[in-house]
Amino acid sequence: MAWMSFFVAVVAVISFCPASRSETVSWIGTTDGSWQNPSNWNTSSVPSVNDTVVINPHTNLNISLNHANITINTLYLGAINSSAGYSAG
Amino acid sequence: MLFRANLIGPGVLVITNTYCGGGSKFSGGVSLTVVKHFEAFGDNTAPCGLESGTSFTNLGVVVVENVMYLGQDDITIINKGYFFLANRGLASNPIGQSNNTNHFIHMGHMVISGSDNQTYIFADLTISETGEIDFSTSITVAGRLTTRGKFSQEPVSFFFARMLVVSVDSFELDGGETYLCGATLRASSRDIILRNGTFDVTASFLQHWVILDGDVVNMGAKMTVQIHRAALQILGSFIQWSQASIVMK
Repeated sequence: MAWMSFFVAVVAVISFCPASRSETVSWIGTTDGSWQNPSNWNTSSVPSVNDTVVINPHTNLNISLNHANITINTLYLGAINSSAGYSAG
Repeated sequence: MLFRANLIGPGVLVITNTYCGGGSKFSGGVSLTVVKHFEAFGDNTAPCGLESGTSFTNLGVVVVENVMYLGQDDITIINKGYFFLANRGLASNPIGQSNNTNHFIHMGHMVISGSDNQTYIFADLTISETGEIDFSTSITVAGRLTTRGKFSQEPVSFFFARMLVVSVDSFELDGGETYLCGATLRASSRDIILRNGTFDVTASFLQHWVILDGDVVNMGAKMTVQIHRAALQILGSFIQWSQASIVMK
């Protein structure tokens, strides 16, 4: 039964591990144009490694990376049509 | 009305999948690494773009469905994966300029296709030993081409370069350094230099003539010309060094 207890314990640990979440994060910034500013994103947090980032400008935008090292999953930059899997607007 | 986004460096972007269009661009020292997929959308009025000073490394698949504009200076593109160019390709803005200090280092597989439009590569192009290019359209390299890889030119296609150097430093019997010429190869600097490797010219009455527009210097390559009811035209001088060979069939 020892292995059974071990198996249950492993399942329990896995169940309580926070899954790495992926979100769709959209640019809403209107002021400083900094990628690193959480208030420029609709989630109020800077996009992270598993996120899909949508930058669909409603005015001409300059977004500065400010020497950052950024890793994300997917980027939609500009007015992308539906053939890319995303409808702008 | 179309609005554009400009991602400005310096900074490092590592992205698994990227979709870029609508006149948006990467600029100011952005270092972009494509892990899996990159797609450039947009017509000639609003494509994706790379501005001067950016670097772009592809580890996956790049698709440029119509055109991607490149700035004039210090753009470095390194392709270690699959690179598909259609129609205008990697062009200057406006299209057709020649002066640049950009570099495209090609280590993977590139396919250039599309309509009968001219396809541009607005950079010096270096094809490494592992690099391979297949094309069936007309290509203009706005710079110097150096190839140690395989360059296959289908019939009814044209190749133009400011300076063309077909160069193989180490010859291996894997065919990986073969230049297959089936149409027009034009060097505007007039130099078509064959240092080493294999240079095959083939034409038949079913295809267009093969035209080498430049001064051809065969320094050490094995050149094979296979012509059937067609013609090979060399619009310049032809010099062959003693260690080079030419076989006419």
